[in-house]
Amino acid sequence: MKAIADASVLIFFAKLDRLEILSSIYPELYAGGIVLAEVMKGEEKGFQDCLRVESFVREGKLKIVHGSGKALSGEHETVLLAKKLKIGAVLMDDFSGVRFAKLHGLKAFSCPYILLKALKEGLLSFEEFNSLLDRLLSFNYFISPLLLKKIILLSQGIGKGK
Amino acid sequence: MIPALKRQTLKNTFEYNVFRCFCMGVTTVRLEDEELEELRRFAKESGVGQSALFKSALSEGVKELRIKAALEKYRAHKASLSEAAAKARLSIWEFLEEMRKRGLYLETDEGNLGEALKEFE
Repeated sequence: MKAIADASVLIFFAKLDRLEILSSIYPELYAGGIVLAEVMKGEEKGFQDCLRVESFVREGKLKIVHGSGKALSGEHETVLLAKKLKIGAVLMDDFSGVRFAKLHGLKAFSCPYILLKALKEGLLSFEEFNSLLDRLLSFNYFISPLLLKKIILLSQGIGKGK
Repeated sequence: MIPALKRQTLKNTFEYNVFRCFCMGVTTVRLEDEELEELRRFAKESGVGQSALFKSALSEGVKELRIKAALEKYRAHKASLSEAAAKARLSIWEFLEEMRKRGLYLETDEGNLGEALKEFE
């Protein structure tokens, strides 16, 4: 499955130290040059987790593609590249970015969805899923109580089915 | 071109400091008596010159105002995460950290997430 990732998803999965989940679900995973630069900007500010993204690229699990240079931001570049490369799935968390992707007829998937998908595909145990979801929320990732309840119920359903 | 070593030596001279003063811009700001008194008092307490304190307060203040303005744009969905971080002149990592420190949350499009979750029902 093909997908193109935005900085937020790469940063959160690097913080969780579970970038391999992304490449397992999306064997053809791309990111734009601006997005990679945005992620790697963390290195000079002491955010060592960004080195995980660098290794991820070096291992060939994340392919870097460059746009026409017209993109105004990482989210913008991600959407433009998705259209150019005919990639239907965009991995993105940012509210405005997701709206922009949908406006262009793309499907946007955010971190909680990717974690559930990993649980469903057997890449995570139920306990691992819970712990990663807790950690994601500890990074001040907002999920409303109602939606969080739904995610927990869905994860329990998937967990029971195994 | 002045060689690096000579430039370094020059930096410690009176002439260099006078030269730097000439290179700096000058502006006038009117302050309330209490504000001026507070700055003077703090300069005395921290053992730094008034001018150095004013410069540092201005620089820190502008940085903070930039961050606040960027956070406001982000919260109002008028800027994306990377646009807001760029406006704040921070990396996305730092911007997320600033949000966390201030008790603000990264918001995703919950309607979109809810729709995507239907796949697991």
